[in-house]
Amino acid sequence: MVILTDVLGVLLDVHLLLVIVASAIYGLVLGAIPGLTALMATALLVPVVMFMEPVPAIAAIITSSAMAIFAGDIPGALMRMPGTPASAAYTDDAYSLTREGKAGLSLGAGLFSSVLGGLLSALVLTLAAPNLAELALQFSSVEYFWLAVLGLSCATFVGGSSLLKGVASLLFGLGLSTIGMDPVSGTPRFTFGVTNLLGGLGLIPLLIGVFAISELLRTVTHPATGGRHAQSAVGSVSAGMGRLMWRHRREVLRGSTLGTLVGALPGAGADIAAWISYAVTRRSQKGKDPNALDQKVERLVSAGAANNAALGGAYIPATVFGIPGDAITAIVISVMFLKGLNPGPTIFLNNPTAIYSIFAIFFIANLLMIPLGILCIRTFGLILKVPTAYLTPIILLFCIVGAFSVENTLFAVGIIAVVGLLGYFMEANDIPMAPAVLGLILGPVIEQTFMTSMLKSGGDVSVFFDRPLAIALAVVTLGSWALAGALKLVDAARARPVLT
Amino acid sequence: MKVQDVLVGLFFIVIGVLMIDHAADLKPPRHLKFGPGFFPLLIGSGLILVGGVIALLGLRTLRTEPLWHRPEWSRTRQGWVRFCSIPAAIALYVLIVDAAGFLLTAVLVMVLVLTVSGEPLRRSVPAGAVTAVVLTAIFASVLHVPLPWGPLQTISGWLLW
Repeated sequence: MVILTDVLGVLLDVHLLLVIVASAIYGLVLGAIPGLTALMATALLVPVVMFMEPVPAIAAIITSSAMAIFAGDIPGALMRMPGTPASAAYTDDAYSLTREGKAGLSLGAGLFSSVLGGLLSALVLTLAAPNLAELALQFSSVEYFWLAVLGLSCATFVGGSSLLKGVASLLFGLGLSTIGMDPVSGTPRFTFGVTNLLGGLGLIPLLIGVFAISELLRTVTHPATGGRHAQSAVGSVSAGMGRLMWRHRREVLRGSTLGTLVGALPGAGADIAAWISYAVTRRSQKGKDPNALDQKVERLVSAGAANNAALGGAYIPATVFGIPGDAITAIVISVMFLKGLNPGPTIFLNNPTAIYSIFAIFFIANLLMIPLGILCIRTFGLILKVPTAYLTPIILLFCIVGAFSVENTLFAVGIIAVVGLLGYFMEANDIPMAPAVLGLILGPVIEQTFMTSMLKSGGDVSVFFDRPLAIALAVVTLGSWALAGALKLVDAARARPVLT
Repeated sequence: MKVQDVLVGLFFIVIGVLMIDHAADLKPPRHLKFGPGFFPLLIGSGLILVGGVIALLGLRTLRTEPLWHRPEWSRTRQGWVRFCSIPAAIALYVLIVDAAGFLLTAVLVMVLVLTVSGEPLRRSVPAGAVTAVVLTAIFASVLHVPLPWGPLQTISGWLLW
């Protein structure tokens, strides 16, 4: 009871509330700009939060990152350009709803599922953090390997109509991820003497190229399509959302649970949580029309809930054991150490007020997302009134500066042009881009865990099957591949001669 | 531009062969059993295998489908100019931003893309100037991104705070 009173005392501080509101607006704006990620928003906050008290400093990071992950849905739904990588999984569905004149439904479903996902993960974080973190701690490189492969498998299965082209795209993405220094020995690979390639291809410029530049290329070659942006209206974002969320409660709950669990596993963040949740929901829709409105909304709310839930999940190992769940919580841990809030089991004994205040801020930030999110959608909607001819070069400049600001090199700007053209030709040839993108994100994780496991075992592949957790993950992963292959063969047999 | 699946398969095979060729030169350190070439070797092999199957399946429709299909926009010169304006604008930015500075380059990029889409200069130049100033304020002043100023270095104090 003493703690509850203390926590309420901290939360009712006007300074803290002002910090939360300001960082919420900041997170929404940065997340809504394609090319600027939740991670970048967090990184840019660090110099500012260094001058704050410990709880407001962590509150600013929690609020801005949660808002940025949701705000990434806005350009994804309105322009098919995910603001953050966490929104990439369901961008096509969200955008197709907008093309059907249901932008309000698309954005409202994204907003309210994000809020519910965030709230549910905050509840888990508060109540069950120690137990879940214990499970994650039992993972070795072998389990991480299987988890990453499972994530890749999901991306391939949801990639498109052709499983073969999905696998080819995945391998292509994995191949691109090998550019740079080898994670085990540090040997340069595929750099061809170019210094800029030593650090690998930057993820943000690649995402900007694949998703934004290729879309701009389609827009300028089909002016009529672009014109629809200007004619679309967002409509009501909140109307009927209570009923919609209740109708899709199973998907929201599934996405929130998956997101929290995936977020709690070190290395797997909001992006992977969204992809896995999206794939699971897609798989559950077997036999239904994937292009039907209800199915699109189901996938959207499931993945939308998952990516925001992953943020809360990532704080479980971060706060309880001091292990970052993702890059954002890695920054949080550094700030906590610098502020004297040493993360770990002892924080619950030494600083109970601070840690429970931090948990409570998750609830405040997610509830604040409703009014501020609607405001952000309305403000962003004004961009639709700008003629497409003017919108195209403005977005292009945002992409250029966004790529430059992340990498600080003109090389990154050149990359967006090359990757944009590649993405355009891939889509024109029915080669799904999503598996390539996830291959890029998870490639280094897979290689590092694979090589570490192989080196530990001296080349004996049985190391991947000698622990109960590893066997369970291996069965799920290999089973999903076998199932996907079998389903494709059945589909092909039904619809001959199309096999690929 | 849609190409026949045989060409798509061949593309992946070529990438796979190049990866394996490069990976073969990457020797493992003396004390390690697996080196930096091991993972690319696996990926390259996978690409050759999958690309081969795609090409083989594509052979079935080789006689009925053209090798490549030109999209509607590529049938006119205007379509090509529009398509090329995006990579050309990025290339222009990369080539001149250090010398000309962000403000001037951003205006040029805007004018280039807007002119190609048929907008007159009397509208595209002011639009480009306003966009460049707003972007400079956001990125250089608020987010502290080191954008180059070029010949306008002397007026940088007006937009930086």
